Amino acid sequence: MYQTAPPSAASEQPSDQALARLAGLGDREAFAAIVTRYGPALYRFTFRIVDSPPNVEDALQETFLDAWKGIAGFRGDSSLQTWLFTLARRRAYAHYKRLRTSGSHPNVNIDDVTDRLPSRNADPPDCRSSTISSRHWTPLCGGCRHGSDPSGSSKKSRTSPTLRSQPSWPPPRTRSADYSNVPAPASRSP
Amino acid sequence: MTIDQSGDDVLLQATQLLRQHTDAGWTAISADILHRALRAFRPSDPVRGRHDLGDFFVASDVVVALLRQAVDAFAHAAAARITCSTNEHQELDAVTIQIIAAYGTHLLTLAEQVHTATTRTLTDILGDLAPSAAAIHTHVHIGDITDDLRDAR
Repeated sequence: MYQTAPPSAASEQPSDQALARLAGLGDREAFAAIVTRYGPALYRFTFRIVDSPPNVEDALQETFLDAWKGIAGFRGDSSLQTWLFTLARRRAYAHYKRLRTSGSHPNVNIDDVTDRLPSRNADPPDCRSSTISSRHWTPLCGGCRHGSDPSGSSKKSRTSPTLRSQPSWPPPRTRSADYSNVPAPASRSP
Repeated sequence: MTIDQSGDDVLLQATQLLRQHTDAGWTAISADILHRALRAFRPSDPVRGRHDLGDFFVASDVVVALLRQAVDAFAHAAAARITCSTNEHQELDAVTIQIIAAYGTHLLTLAEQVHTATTRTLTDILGDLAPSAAAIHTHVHIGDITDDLRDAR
Protein backbone atom coordinates (compact mmCIF):
# COMPACT_ATOMS: atom_id res chain seq x y z
CA MET A 1 0.00 0.00 0.00
CA TYR A 2 1.32 3.37 -0.99
CA GLN A 3 1.46 6.15 1.46
CA THR A 4 1.62 9.69 0.22
CA ALA A 5 3.85 12.14 1.94
CA PRO A 6 2.13 14.94 3.81
CA PRO A 7 2.04 18.09 1.77
CA SER A 8 4.64 20.64 2.66
CA ALA A 9 3.76 24.06 3.96
CA ALA A 10 4.57 25.63 0.60
CA SER A 11 2.15 23.41 -1.29
CA GLU A 12 -0.66 24.27 1.14
CA GLN A 13 -0.52 27.87 0.06
CA PRO A 14 -2.83 28.86 -2.79
CA SER A 15 -1.25 29.34 -6.15
CA ASP A 16 -0.72 32.72 -7.75
CA GLN A 17 -3.47 31.93 -10.24
CA ALA A 18 -5.98 31.22 -7.50
CA LEU A 19 -5.02 34.36 -5.58
CA ALA A 20 -5.26 36.53 -8.69
CA ARG A 21 -8.64 35.03 -9.58
CA LEU A 22 -10.05 35.60 -6.10
CA ALA A 23 -8.64 39.12 -5.86
CA GLY A 24 -10.13 39.92 -9.24
CA LEU A 25 -13.51 38.88 -7.90
CA GLY A 26 -13.14 41.26 -4.96
CA ASP A 27 -11.61 39.01 -2.31
CA ARG A 28 -9.54 41.36 -0.13
CA GLU A 29 -7.89 38.56 1.81
CA ALA A 30 -6.54 37.11 -1.42
CA PHE A 31 -5.14 40.49 -2.40
CA ALA A 32 -3.56 40.84 1.03
CA ALA A 33 -1.90 37.47 0.47
CA ILE A 34 -0.51 38.74 -2.85
CA VAL A 35 0.87 41.85 -1.16
CA THR A 36 2.46 39.74 1.56
CA ARG A 37 3.94 37.32 -0.95
CA TYR A 38 5.44 39.80 -3.40
CA GLY A 39 5.81 42.94 -1.28
CA PRO A 40 9.39 42.31 -0.06
CA ALA A 41 10.70 41.54 -3.55
CA LEU A 42 8.91 44.54 -5.03
CA TYR A 43 10.34 46.71 -2.26
CA ARG A 44 13.89 45.61 -3.09
CA PHE A 45 13.27 46.08 -6.81
CA THR A 46 11.80 49.57 -6.39
CA PHE A 47 14.47 50.59 -3.89
CA ARG A 48 17.15 50.01 -6.51
CA ILE A 49 15.44 52.34 -8.95
CA VAL A 50 14.04 55.04 -6.69
CA ASP A 51 16.35 57.01 -4.48
CA SER A 52 14.92 57.35 -0.98
CA PRO A 53 12.62 55.33 1.33
CA PRO A 54 9.76 57.88 1.26
CA ASN A 55 9.76 57.79 -2.53
CA VAL A 56 9.92 54.00 -2.48
CA GLU A 57 6.84 53.94 -0.29
CA ASP A 58 5.01 56.29 -2.65
CA ALA A 59 5.96 54.24 -5.70
CA LEU A 60 4.97 50.97 -4.02
CA GLN A 61 1.71 52.49 -2.83
CA GLU A 62 0.84 53.45 -6.38
CA THR A 63 1.95 50.05 -7.66
CA PHE A 64 -0.41 48.16 -5.37
CA LEU A 65 -3.20 50.62 -6.06
CA ASP A 66 -2.79 49.89 -9.75
CA ALA A 67 -2.77 46.18 -8.98
CA TRP A 68 -5.94 46.31 -6.90
CA LYS A 69 -7.79 48.32 -9.52
CA GLY A 70 -6.53 46.31 -12.46
CA ILE A 71 -6.43 42.76 -11.20
CA ALA A 72 -10.02 42.15 -12.30
CA GLY A 73 -8.75 42.49 -15.87
CA PHE A 74 -5.69 40.34 -15.33
CA ARG A 75 -6.12 37.41 -17.70
CA GLY A 76 -3.06 35.42 -16.80
CA ASP A 77 -1.25 35.89 -20.11
CA SER A 78 1.89 36.44 -18.05
CA SER A 79 2.64 35.29 -14.55
CA LEU A 80 1.35 37.34 -11.66
CA GLN A 81 4.93 38.07 -10.65
CA THR A 82 5.80 39.47 -14.08
CA TRP A 83 2.67 41.61 -14.09
CA LEU A 84 3.40 43.08 -10.66
CA PHE A 85 7.04 43.85 -11.49
CA THR A 86 5.95 45.55 -14.70
CA LEU A 87 3.58 47.77 -12.71
CA ALA A 88 6.37 48.57 -10.24
CA ARG A 89 8.84 49.44 -12.99
CA ARG A 90 6.36 51.79 -14.64
CA ARG A 91 5.66 53.54 -11.36
CA ALA A 92 9.35 53.91 -10.57
CA TYR A 93 10.07 55.44 -13.98
CA ALA A 94 7.05 57.70 -13.64
CA HIS A 95 8.55 58.90 -10.37
CA TYR A 96 11.76 59.89 -12.15
CA LYS A 97 9.79 61.56 -14.90
CA ARG A 98 8.01 63.71 -12.31
CA LEU A 99 11.36 64.68 -10.78
CA ARG A 100 12.65 65.79 -14.17
CA THR A 101 9.49 67.79 -14.89
CA SER A 102 9.37 69.48 -11.50
CA GLY A 103 13.09 70.29 -11.55
CA SER A 104 13.68 68.90 -8.07
CA HIS A 105 16.54 66.58 -7.25
CA PRO A 106 16.72 63.42 -5.22
CA ASN A 107 17.46 63.80 -1.55
CA VAL A 108 21.04 63.30 -0.40
CA ASN A 109 21.81 61.75 2.94
CA ILE A 110 23.83 64.25 4.98
CA ASP A 111 26.00 61.49 6.39
CA ASP A 112 27.19 60.60 2.90
CA VAL A 113 28.51 64.08 2.13
CA THR A 114 29.66 65.32 5.53
CA ASP A 115 33.30 64.65 4.78
CA ARG A 116 33.10 66.69 1.60
CA LEU A 117 31.65 69.77 3.28
CA PRO A 118 34.01 72.48 4.67
CA SER A 119 34.22 72.71 8.41
CA ARG A 120 32.20 75.45 10.09
CA ASN A 121 35.14 76.57 12.17
CA ALA A 122 37.51 76.81 9.24
CA ASP A 123 38.77 80.20 8.11
CA PRO A 124 36.89 81.89 5.32
CA PRO A 125 38.49 81.59 1.92
CA ASP A 126 41.36 83.88 1.07
CA CYS A 127 40.47 85.90 -1.96
CA ARG A 128 44.07 86.70 -2.67
CA SER A 129 44.93 83.11 -3.28
CA SER A 130 42.04 82.53 -5.65
CA THR A 131 42.17 82.92 -9.36
CA ILE A 132 39.55 85.69 -9.23
CA SER A 133 41.05 89.14 -8.87
CA SER A 134 40.40 91.10 -5.70
CA ARG A 135 38.56 93.73 -7.73
CA HIS A 136 35.82 91.18 -8.49
CA TRP A 137 35.99 89.47 -5.12
CA THR A 138 35.33 92.65 -3.19
CA PRO A 139 31.64 93.09 -3.88
CA LEU A 140 31.01 89.33 -3.79
CA CYS A 141 32.59 88.04 -0.60
CA GLY A 142 31.34 90.10 2.26
CA GLY A 143 32.59 87.57 4.80
CA CYS A 144 36.09 87.46 3.40
CA ARG A 145 38.76 88.74 5.74
CA HIS A 146 40.30 90.64 2.84
CA GLY A 147 37.01 92.05 1.62
CA SER A 148 37.60 95.38 3.32
CA ASP A 149 39.28 97.47 0.73
CA PRO A 150 41.57 100.20 2.21
CA SER A 151 40.02 102.77 -0.10
CA GLY A 152 36.55 101.80 1.05
CA SER A 153 35.25 101.82 -2.47
CA SER A 154 33.58 98.47 -2.08
CA LYS A 155 31.13 99.85 0.48
CA LYS A 156 30.30 102.94 -1.53
CA SER A 157 29.08 101.35 -4.65
CA ARG A 158 28.76 97.88 -6.08
CA THR A 159 28.58 99.08 -9.62
CA SER A 160 31.09 97.59 -11.93
CA PRO A 161 34.18 99.85 -12.38
CA THR A 162 33.77 99.57 -16.09
CA LEU A 163 30.34 101.14 -15.97
CA ARG A 164 31.32 103.78 -13.41
CA SER A 165 34.11 105.04 -15.67
CA GLN A 166 31.63 106.00 -18.37
CA PRO A 167 30.70 109.70 -17.83
CA SER A 168 27.33 109.53 -19.52
CA TRP A 169 26.06 106.36 -17.98
CA PRO A 170 23.16 105.88 -17.78
CA PRO A 171 22.34 107.79 -20.97
CA PRO A 172 19.86 110.69 -20.49
CA ARG A 173 16.34 110.16 -21.66
CA THR A 174 14.76 112.80 -23.94
CA ARG A 175 11.02 113.15 -23.87
CA SER A 176 10.64 115.25 -27.02
CA ALA A 177 12.83 115.77 -30.02
CA ASP A 178 14.28 119.21 -30.74
CA TYR A 179 14.38 119.96 -34.47
CA SER A 180 15.38 123.68 -34.23
CA ASN A 181 18.95 123.09 -35.31
CA VAL A 182 18.10 120.78 -38.12
CA PRO A 183 18.67 122.45 -41.50
CA ALA A 184 15.73 122.65 -43.82
CA PRO A 185 15.83 120.33 -46.80
CA ALA A 186 16.97 121.91 -50.01
CA SER A 187 14.21 122.60 -52.47
CA ARG A 188 14.33 120.73 -55.71
CA SER A 189 14.78 122.67 -58.90
CA PRO A 190 12.25 121.80 -61.56
CA MET B 1 28.22 24.63 5.50
CA THR B 2 29.84 21.38 4.52
CA ILE B 3 33.07 21.29 2.63
CA ASP B 4 31.83 18.97 -0.10
CA GLN B 5 29.17 21.43 -1.25
CA SER B 6 29.80 22.62 -4.75
CA GLY B 7 29.85 26.27 -5.68
CA ASP B 8 26.50 26.00 -7.44
CA ASP B 9 24.85 24.65 -4.31
CA VAL B 10 26.26 27.44 -2.19
CA LEU B 11 25.15 30.02 -4.73
CA LEU B 12 21.68 28.50 -4.92
CA GLN B 13 21.37 28.49 -1.14
CA ALA B 14 22.56 32.07 -0.90
CA THR B 15 20.10 33.15 -3.59
CA GLN B 16 17.22 31.49 -1.80
CA LEU B 17 18.16 33.10 1.49
CA LEU B 18 18.38 36.51 -0.12
CA ARG B 19 14.98 36.05 -1.75
CA GLN B 20 13.47 35.10 1.59
CA HIS B 21 15.02 38.11 3.26
CA THR B 22 12.55 40.79 4.21
CA ASP B 23 13.83 44.33 4.43
CA ALA B 24 13.08 46.27 7.55
CA GLY B 25 11.81 49.06 5.33
CA TRP B 26 9.13 46.83 3.89
CA THR B 27 8.11 45.60 7.33
CA ALA B 28 7.61 49.19 8.42
CA ILE B 29 5.37 50.22 5.53
CA SER B 30 3.56 47.02 4.54
CA ALA B 31 0.54 47.43 6.82
CA ASP B 32 0.02 51.01 5.71
CA ILE B 33 0.34 50.15 2.03
CA LEU B 34 -2.10 47.26 2.27
CA HIS B 35 -4.61 49.32 4.23
CA ARG B 36 -4.53 52.17 1.74
CA ALA B 37 -4.71 49.89 -1.29
CA LEU B 38 -7.77 48.03 -0.02
CA ARG B 39 -9.48 51.28 0.93
CA ALA B 40 -9.15 52.57 -2.64
CA PHE B 41 -12.29 53.00 -4.66
CA ARG B 42 -12.68 50.44 -7.38
CA PRO B 43 -14.89 51.89 -10.10
CA SER B 44 -17.85 49.74 -11.03
CA ASP B 45 -21.20 50.25 -12.71
CA PRO B 46 -24.35 50.71 -10.64
CA VAL B 47 -27.08 48.07 -10.70
CA ARG B 48 -30.64 49.10 -9.93
CA GLY B 49 -32.56 47.24 -7.24
CA ARG B 50 -36.11 47.79 -6.03
CA HIS B 51 -37.98 47.18 -2.81
CA ASP B 52 -41.09 48.52 -1.05
CA LEU B 53 -39.59 51.93 -0.32
CA GLY B 54 -38.33 52.54 -3.84
CA ASP B 55 -35.34 52.02 -6.06
CA PHE B 56 -31.77 51.73 -4.88
CA PHE B 57 -28.42 51.08 -6.51
CA VAL B 58 -25.82 48.46 -5.77
CA ALA B 59 -22.29 48.54 -7.14
CA SER B 60 -21.70 45.73 -9.59
CA ASP B 61 -18.61 44.82 -7.55
CA VAL B 62 -20.92 43.97 -4.66
CA VAL B 63 -23.09 41.82 -6.91
CA VAL B 64 -20.00 40.01 -8.19
CA ALA B 65 -18.62 39.44 -4.69
CA LEU B 66 -21.90 37.96 -3.43
CA LEU B 67 -22.27 35.76 -6.50
CA ARG B 68 -18.72 34.52 -5.98
CA GLN B 69 -19.54 33.51 -2.43
CA ALA B 70 -22.62 31.65 -3.66
CA VAL B 71 -20.69 29.76 -6.33
CA ASP B 72 -17.67 29.03 -4.15
CA ALA B 73 -19.99 27.32 -1.67
CA PHE B 74 -20.02 24.32 -4.01
CA ALA B 75 -17.42 21.74 -3.10
CA HIS B 76 -16.24 20.93 -6.62
CA ALA B 77 -16.42 24.29 -8.35
CA ALA B 78 -15.22 27.85 -8.11
CA ALA B 79 -15.94 31.04 -9.99
CA ALA B 80 -13.21 32.14 -12.38
CA ARG B 81 -14.81 35.28 -13.75
CA ILE B 82 -18.17 36.96 -13.25
CA THR B 83 -19.43 39.80 -15.42
CA CYS B 84 -22.63 41.80 -15.14
CA SER B 85 -24.24 43.75 -17.97
CA THR B 86 -26.96 46.32 -17.47
CA ASN B 87 -29.38 48.09 -19.78
CA GLU B 88 -29.84 51.84 -20.20
CA HIS B 89 -31.90 52.01 -16.99
CA GLN B 90 -29.08 50.37 -14.99
CA GLU B 91 -31.22 47.26 -14.60
CA LEU B 92 -29.32 44.00 -14.59
CA ASP B 93 -29.74 42.41 -17.97
CA ALA B 94 -27.39 39.45 -17.93
CA VAL B 95 -24.87 37.70 -15.74
CA THR B 96 -22.08 35.52 -17.09
CA ILE B 97 -20.35 33.17 -14.68
CA GLN B 98 -17.26 31.30 -15.73
CA ILE B 99 -16.63 28.21 -13.65
CA ILE B 100 -13.64 26.04 -12.82
CA ALA B 101 -14.84 22.53 -12.09
CA ALA B 102 -13.06 19.65 -10.43
CA TYR B 103 -12.26 16.70 -12.66
CA GLY B 104 -15.01 14.08 -12.52
CA THR B 105 -17.84 16.44 -11.68
CA HIS B 106 -21.04 16.02 -13.70
CA LEU B 107 -20.98 19.30 -15.55
CA LEU B 108 -24.63 19.60 -16.50
CA THR B 109 -25.72 19.03 -12.92
CA LEU B 110 -23.16 21.52 -11.70
CA ALA B 111 -24.32 24.13 -14.22
CA GLU B 112 -27.90 23.70 -13.13
CA GLN B 113 -26.94 24.09 -9.46
CA VAL B 114 -24.96 27.23 -10.20
CA HIS B 115 -27.86 28.63 -12.19
CA THR B 116 -30.29 28.04 -9.31
CA ALA B 117 -27.93 29.53 -6.73
CA THR B 118 -27.37 32.59 -8.92
CA THR B 119 -31.09 33.21 -9.31
CA ARG B 120 -31.63 32.96 -5.55
CA THR B 121 -28.72 35.30 -4.80
CA LEU B 122 -29.86 37.92 -7.31
CA THR B 123 -33.33 37.93 -5.75
CA ASP B 124 -31.76 38.49 -2.33
CA ILE B 125 -29.60 41.36 -3.58
CA LEU B 126 -31.92 43.25 -5.89
CA GLY B 127 -35.24 42.64 -4.15
CA ASP B 128 -38.43 40.90 -5.11
CA LEU B 129 -39.68 43.86 -7.10
CA ALA B 130 -36.62 44.06 -9.28
CA PRO B 131 -36.84 42.58 -12.74
CA SER B 132 -37.52 38.94 -12.12
CA ALA B 133 -34.32 37.06 -11.53
CA ALA B 134 -35.64 34.43 -13.90
CA ALA B 135 -35.77 37.11 -16.60
CA ILE B 136 -32.11 37.89 -16.16
CA HIS B 137 -30.00 35.85 -18.53
CA THR B 138 -27.60 33.75 -16.52
CA HIS B 139 -24.85 32.19 -18.59
CA VAL B 140 -22.87 29.44 -16.91
CA HIS B 141 -19.65 28.67 -18.71
CA ILE B 142 -17.36 25.82 -17.65
CA GLY B 143 -14.03 27.39 -18.48
CA ASP B 144 -11.56 24.96 -16.94
CA ILE B 145 -11.27 21.52 -15.42
CA THR B 146 -8.69 20.86 -12.75
CA ASP B 147 -7.53 17.86 -10.76
CA ASP B 148 -6.18 20.07 -8.00
CA LEU B 149 -8.84 21.99 -6.18
CA ARG B 150 -6.22 24.28 -4.68
CA ASP B 151 -6.13 25.95 -8.08
CA ALA B 152 -9.80 26.70 -7.69
CA ARG B 153 -9.69 27.71 -4.02
